[in-house]
Amino acid sequence: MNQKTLRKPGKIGELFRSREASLLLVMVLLVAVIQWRSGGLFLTGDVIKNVTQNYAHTAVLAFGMLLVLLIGGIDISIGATLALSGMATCLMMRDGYITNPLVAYLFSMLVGTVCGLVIGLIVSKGKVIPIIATLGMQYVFRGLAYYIAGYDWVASDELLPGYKSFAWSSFLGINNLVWIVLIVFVVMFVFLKWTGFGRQIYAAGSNPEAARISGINIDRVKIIVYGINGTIGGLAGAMATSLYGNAQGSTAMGAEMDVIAACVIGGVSLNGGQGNAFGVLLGAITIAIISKSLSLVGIDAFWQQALKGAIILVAVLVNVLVQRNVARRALKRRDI
Amino acid sequence: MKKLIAILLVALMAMSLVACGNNGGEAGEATYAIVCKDASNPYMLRMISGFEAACEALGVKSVTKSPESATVDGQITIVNELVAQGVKGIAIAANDAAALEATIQAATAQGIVVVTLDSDTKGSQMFVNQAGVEQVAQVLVDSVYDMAGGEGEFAILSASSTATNQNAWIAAMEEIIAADEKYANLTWVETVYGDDEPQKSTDEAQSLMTKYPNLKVICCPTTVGVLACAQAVQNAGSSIKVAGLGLPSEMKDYVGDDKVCPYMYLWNPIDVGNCAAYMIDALAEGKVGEIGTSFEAKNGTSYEVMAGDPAAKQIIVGPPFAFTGENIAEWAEVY
Repeated sequence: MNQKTLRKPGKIGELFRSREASLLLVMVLLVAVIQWRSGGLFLTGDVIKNVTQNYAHTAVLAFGMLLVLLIGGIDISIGATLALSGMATCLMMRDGYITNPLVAYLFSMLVGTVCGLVIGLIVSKGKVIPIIATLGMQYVFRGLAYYIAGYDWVASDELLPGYKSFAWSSFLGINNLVWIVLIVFVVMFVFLKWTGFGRQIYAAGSNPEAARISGINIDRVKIIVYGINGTIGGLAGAMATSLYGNAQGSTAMGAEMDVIAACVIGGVSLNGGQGNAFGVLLGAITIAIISKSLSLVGIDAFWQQALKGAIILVAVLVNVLVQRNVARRALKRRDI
Repeated sequence: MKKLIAILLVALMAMSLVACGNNGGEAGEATYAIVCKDASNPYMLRMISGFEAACEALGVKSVTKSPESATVDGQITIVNELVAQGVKGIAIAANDAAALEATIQAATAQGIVVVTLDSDTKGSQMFVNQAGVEQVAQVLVDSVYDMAGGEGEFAILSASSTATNQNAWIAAMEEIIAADEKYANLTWVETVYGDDEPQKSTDEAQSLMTKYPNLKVICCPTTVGVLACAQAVQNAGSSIKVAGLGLPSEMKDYVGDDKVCPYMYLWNPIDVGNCAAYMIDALAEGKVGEIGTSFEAKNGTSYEVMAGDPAAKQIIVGPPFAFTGENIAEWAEVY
């Protein structure tokens, strides 16, 4: 056999060697341990329904973060974008300007898009490094979320009944919020794999200099990517407020960490250029499983945060080690 | 061009600082400050409105300061700033039971009256207690007892595992249940913490329902937790009842005889803020006597001075108030 056939072992072989396969293995192990420790409570219809519904907005955010990480950026303001867009939407509903749940979702996405575009402009035209730009905007967005609401909450009875019930109803046996996750996943998968702009994102992240020379407008890519991330942040804002039936300025405080963790577990590189939508979907599911297990297994509250961090690290480590092992074996075979 | 933008940005920043900084109070005019737990909490907001109203009645200026999130380091910075600005009195809802002590002592040394309200901390001259710990624990235990029908399993869904108030109430509930034979048939299955975060609170409430199929009551002594819990229980179509402490305006949809939460308790945060301002005034005028004596504040109410812990002294504003299906709509308008 020549080297070329070994390096490209066909569709099925590729699947098993992929990072996603080792992540699936990690997930199965994790679920098995939780199933055992919780006395068989985890793999039940109710729990699966609750988890997928309660972490749907986290998963959606992870797809936006994927784009940002792919171009070598990061967005730690996404939790604040969620809070601001959700709050703005609920206020519009409270004051009677929005009377249709669909309009509410679109409005929230619009607010999120504006937030994202502002960040995109600061990062590309202002040449501020993403972590600093989004650190600053995080406070701005969070502050605005408090300010526009007058530091108050929007109560459940001030929201449209259809807006709240949307998050709690299903279509074809699957919760509406989970449908949103699936749609965003499919769109993102196709977008990154089969569109020219998707390719440009990878190029801009893996080698910005080469991409620029080959004629890609890096600034434009950055602005659009942060804009899309903002749109998704706004979508998640509508999802969270319709799910919890109220808007609080402090909603999703620290959510960005769960989102970034989901991406990292899903094999997205923080250096840019590496990662895909399927990995992120698995990463988001893993984060949801970890978070839910903490309450279901009955771990002492003082240990929950520490344990969550440890499990995330172990998941990433196992994934990397399995991956390295596979790569090494492939290399060994090639040497023969 | 770039330089121009940079200069404009700096100018904008400086202007916004000036705009934010002008509520510090001028020298010479008496100013009372209220420091809240965090910037976004409707409960704190009602407390502030009560404080402001009392300050107006007393003829002093009022200032409100809150850290971005419920952390104690943010509060320390704020108190130091207030001392530097020369306010006359500070009322603070402490985010930590001990860490503010040195800061408060430094303020007191400058002749500033420092009282705590809502959450107490070491070093405070007077704790304006919204309701006695035992009183709160008693109404919570009694609502669990009543909603469970005298026997069966119940669980607690609290705020964070380090929240001062919630931990004090939970500890007192344990004592009350242990001390009285009446509660012998109640089984306390678990205490979980939702960190006053909707996602985590919902997770915890749903996990309680999964883990304990015979659960009868979930008791949530926190306004964020009780809301998330009531919603999760209602949407699950469960027969579990939710007891606890909640804001009427937020809980309006869930409180009533045929709803998940038959009734709940809270005190009036407006009264708490109001009372704190009158306490600063009374302390500044030296009206407050030894423990065991009583005095009349300028709002016309007499308060009994009691021994505080950890504050030197405390007064209790009033007993917890029950919100039922009958009065919830009316109170939802107020707070």
